[in-house]
Amino acid sequence: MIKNPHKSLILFFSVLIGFSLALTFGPLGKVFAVGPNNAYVVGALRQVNSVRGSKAYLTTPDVIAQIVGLENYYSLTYAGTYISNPLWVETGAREYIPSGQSTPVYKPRTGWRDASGNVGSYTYTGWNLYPGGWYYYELHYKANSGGNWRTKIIDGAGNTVIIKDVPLTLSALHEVGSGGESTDIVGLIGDISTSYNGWQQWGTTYWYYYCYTTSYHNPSIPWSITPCGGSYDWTIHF
Amino acid sequence: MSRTKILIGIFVTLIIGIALAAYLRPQLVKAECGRSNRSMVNVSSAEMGTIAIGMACRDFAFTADPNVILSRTLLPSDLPSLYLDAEDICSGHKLDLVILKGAFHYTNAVHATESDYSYVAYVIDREEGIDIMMATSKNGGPFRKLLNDPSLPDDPIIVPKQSVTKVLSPEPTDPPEINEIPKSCGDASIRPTRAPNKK
Repeated sequence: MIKNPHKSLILFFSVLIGFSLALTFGPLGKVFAVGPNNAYVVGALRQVNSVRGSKAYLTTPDVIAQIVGLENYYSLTYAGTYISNPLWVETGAREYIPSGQSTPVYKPRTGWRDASGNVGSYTYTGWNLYPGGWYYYELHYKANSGGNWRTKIIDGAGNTVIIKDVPLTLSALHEVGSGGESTDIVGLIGDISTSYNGWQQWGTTYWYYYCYTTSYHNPSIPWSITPCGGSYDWTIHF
Repeated sequence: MSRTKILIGIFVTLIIGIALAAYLRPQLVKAECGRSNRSMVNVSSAEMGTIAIGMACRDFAFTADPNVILSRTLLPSDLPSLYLDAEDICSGHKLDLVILKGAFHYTNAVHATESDYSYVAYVIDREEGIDIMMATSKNGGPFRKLLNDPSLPDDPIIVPKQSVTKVLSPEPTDPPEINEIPKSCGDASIRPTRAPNKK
């Protein structure tokens, strides 16, 4: 049908031009981000009194990311306050696939929202964690710091690393909890177990152990949370 | 074949090309949003800016592409503006600082929070291939020094900072850190796990 040898070239370049036009100038040429849509399940305890610290053993999520571009699976223990502009500090493990690689790694991570409403996060890359393994996490107000909160992790050898001193500029929070969160709704985590959940009241150094009295979850995901066990433990699934 | 038929052929091909591009575009967006599949070790500063936009796409919602207003090697003098201490980073690694400007919408369902920011900063570790730190700002004030722009206003305080006198009393005493070890750049080993116990 195409007798002129130049016609195939014309057709080829036409397709090329079409692609270029569509990608460069078309409405689909923009990067339109859908943004994060958290999947989460958290067992929590609201405190009338002020919380000075929170601690828990947590398992590291061991589900490999299935979706390209998805990397933030992490378990968390946090102390937050539920006011109109909540502040929080949370710590746990983060799973991600380093660029240029195909195998996920697991690292300690801390996130927060400060008195200006700014959010931040920090990942300590010096420690690798076992997927599915237990680690101890703790966060507490740092004395005489003007409002810093300290997050830390302890491994099986008893070694402690200060993950981050977070400039929250607030001296007491009002809720504690443990669970899991993903920054993408399609990034379901699987199981995360938490044990010996504790909180510390302002002005004391004693750790109270607690069972969750309320739970939070994204209403659009299948989820579950086990009843609180004798080791102040529960497992979330989503 | 007449010239008209050739033109029709070109037109039809163009339409097919545009349709194919429209079909493939969402796949391309997915690949750009979140993580880069290629190693970051030797990418240019400009490419690092594009990678940071992908990180912002993971963390925030935005309807227009953010602008990369700073992309360069992280300097020790940058750390205070980013809430980082010297021990928070691996000084032996190549670290980049990227600051984006745009309209970033943040949602955190766990904390029932929505916020809007104009600036997002990322510190990216090339060897690790990830962002090790992220910070936001509404007005840019915290990044005034990094951007060398004294006109950037402070961010509003939404929860009043507590003065020393307003800090709840008694001021607690920190427990001693047991077996605290300094941060390091790490290696490939995996830390031993710790079985739950009440101590």
